[in-house]
Amino acid sequence: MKRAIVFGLALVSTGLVAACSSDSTAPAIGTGSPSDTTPNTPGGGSQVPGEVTPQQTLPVDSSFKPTPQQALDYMRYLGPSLLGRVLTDEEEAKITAGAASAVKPMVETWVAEPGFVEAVKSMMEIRLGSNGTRGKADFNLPGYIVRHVVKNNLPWSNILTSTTCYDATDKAIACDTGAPFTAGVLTTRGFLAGNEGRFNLGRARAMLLTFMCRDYPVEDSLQPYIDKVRLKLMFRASNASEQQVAEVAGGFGNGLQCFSCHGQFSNHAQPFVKFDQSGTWIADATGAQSTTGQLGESDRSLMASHFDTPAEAALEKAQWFGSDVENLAGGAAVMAKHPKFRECAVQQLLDMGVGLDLGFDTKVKGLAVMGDFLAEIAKAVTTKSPDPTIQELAVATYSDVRVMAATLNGLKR
Amino acid sequence: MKYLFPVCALFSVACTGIFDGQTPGDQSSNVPLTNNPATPGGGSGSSTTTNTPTTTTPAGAPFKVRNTEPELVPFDMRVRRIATAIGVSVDHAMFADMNKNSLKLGDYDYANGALPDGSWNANRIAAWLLALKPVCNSAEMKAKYPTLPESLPALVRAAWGHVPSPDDTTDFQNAIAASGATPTVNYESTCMAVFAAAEFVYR
Repeated sequence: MKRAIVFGLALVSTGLVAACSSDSTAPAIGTGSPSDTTPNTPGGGSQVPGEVTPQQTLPVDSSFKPTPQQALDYMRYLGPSLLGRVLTDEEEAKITAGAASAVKPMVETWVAEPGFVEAVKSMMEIRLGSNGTRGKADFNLPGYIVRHVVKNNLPWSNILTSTTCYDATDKAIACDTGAPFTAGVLTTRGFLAGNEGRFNLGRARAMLLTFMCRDYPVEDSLQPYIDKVRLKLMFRASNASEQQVAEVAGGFGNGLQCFSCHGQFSNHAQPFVKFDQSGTWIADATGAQSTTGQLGESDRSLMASHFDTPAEAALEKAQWFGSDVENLAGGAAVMAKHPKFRECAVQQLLDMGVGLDLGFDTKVKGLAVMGDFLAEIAKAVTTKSPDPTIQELAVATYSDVRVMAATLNGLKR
Repeated sequence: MKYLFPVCALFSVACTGIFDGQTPGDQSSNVPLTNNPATPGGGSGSSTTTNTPTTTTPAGAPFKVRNTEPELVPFDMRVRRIATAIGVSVDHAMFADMNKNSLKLGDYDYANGALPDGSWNANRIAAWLLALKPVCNSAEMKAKYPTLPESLPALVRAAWGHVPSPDDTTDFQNAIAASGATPTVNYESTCMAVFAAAEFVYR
C-alpha cells in the first residue's frame, strides 16, 4: 500500500506539483535564453523549462523588434489559446528563422484552422451566456451562427445581421423567436432567455458589453441620453433632490442617480420589449408595468418598458448609438456598422488570445484595452476591408508588434 | 493502480485551486473579460505557469496581460489538445466519458445554469483522471506512443509544447522505478500524469 501511494503520488505529482508550488518547473514565457533559438523536437534540442533569464521591460511601441526567441515565446503562448494545440516543430523552426516576420503569415494560417473557429464560438457563447438546450429551446443557436460566420470567412458583422440561424450540422434553419425580423445572435431564444430580466436590463447590458465593449454609463457621445420627460418618473432623477418616487428615494437599485444609467438603458432595452422571458416575440406586448408582478415586469412573462407613455412603451422603436431604429434588427444593423463594434472585436480577440487584465485602467467602463489602440488596429483593417472578417481583425491584432511586446511584458516573471 | 485515484485526491487536498500567493478571497481578482463573472477566460492553455504577477506596465502600454495566477484551460480546449496530441478528432469515442461528464470537468451549459468553472479541486482532478482512462488505454494512443515512459519525450512535446526537462524525466523515471508496477500500469499512469499535469491543464 505504501509503495502504491508513493507511486501514485510521485507519478501524478510529477505533473501536478507545479500547480501547487511556486517552485514550478513550468517554462517561463518570455524568459528563455536569447540564444536559445532551437525549435523543440521530440527527444531534445529545446528550451529548458525553468531557465530564467532576467529580462527588461520591453518597449510597447512600433519600434519593438522581437528576437527569434521572443517571437517564439509569444507564439507558444498565443497558439494554444487560438487553436487548441501546441506549435508544431515546423512552426517553431519557421518562427526561429523569421522572428517577427514569421508571425503574420503563421497567424494567417492559424485563423483558417477549425480550432480557431471553435475558439471564437466558445468565446462568444460565454459572452452571450448561451449554449446547451432547455426543453425545446436550443441555446446553441448563437454559437452556431458564430461558427457559420467564422468558418465561411463572412464579415464579422454578420453575427448581428444574419437573417438565418443554423443547426448543429451548419444547415440553415429559421431562427426561433417568431419575430418578423432577424438580428443574428440577438434574435435567438438562447441569447434572449439567457439574459432576460426586469426592464430588459440584462439583455441590453449583455449587448453593450459583448458588441461595443462598454458598460453603463456609456460616454454620451456614443449613446446620447434620452429626454428625461419620456421616462417613467423614477428614472428621471439625476440626484436625490430630483427623485420624486418614494420607494426609489429609499435607495432602491443604485439609489438616487437613476438617470445616469437608465437614461441610456432605456433606449437599449426598448427593442427587447416584445420578447418574453423565453425569448418568444409577442406581437401585442405592451411594455406596461404589471400590476401584480415585480417592478420592471410586465404581464405574460414580458418585461416593462422604461417609457412613460403607453403608446411609446408598446413600440420597439428606440435610438441606438445616435441612430433611430425601428426594432432590434435596426439596432443590430447600427451596431454592425459602428466602428466601436470592430474595435470591440479586437478587444475580444486579445482577451481570447492572451488574456486581458480587467484591472487595467482605460478610463472607460467596459474597455480593458486603450481605446485609441483598438481604434488604430480596427481602422487599419477597415481601410482595406470595410466590413472585415474576424480573421482579418485577428491577423492585424496578433501580428502587431505592440501586442507582442505587451504580451511578453505580462508573461515574464 | 487502484490507489492512484485516492492518492490523487489526497494529494490534491493541498491543491484545491488556490495557488501560492493567493488567499481564498483573492480568487475573484482574476475575473476574466466576460459578461458572466463566474466564467474563465475565453482563451486556453499553453505551457505556462506564472505564479508571480508582474507589476510593471510600461508607459503607453495599451493593455496588460492577466497574469496573477494560472488559469484552467477550458474543457473543450483540453479535449482538443489531447485529440491533437494523439492524432484523433475531438468526436472520437475515446472522449465519450469525458464529454458525458463535461460539467464535472469545468464545462458550461448556460441553458441549464452551469457556468464555466475554472477551479481545479480534488473531485475534479479525480474525475479528470477517470475520464482519461479510456483515452490512455485507446488503441490510437498506443499506436502513437507505443511504450511509456520510452515515448515520454514525444508525448510531452505533443501535449505540453516542449520536451520534458531533465528533472521532469528523472521524476517520471524515479516514480516508475519506485512503483514496481507492471508495464501496463506504468503506461496508463504516465499517460494520465502527462495529461493531468499543470503544464497541460493550466495556462
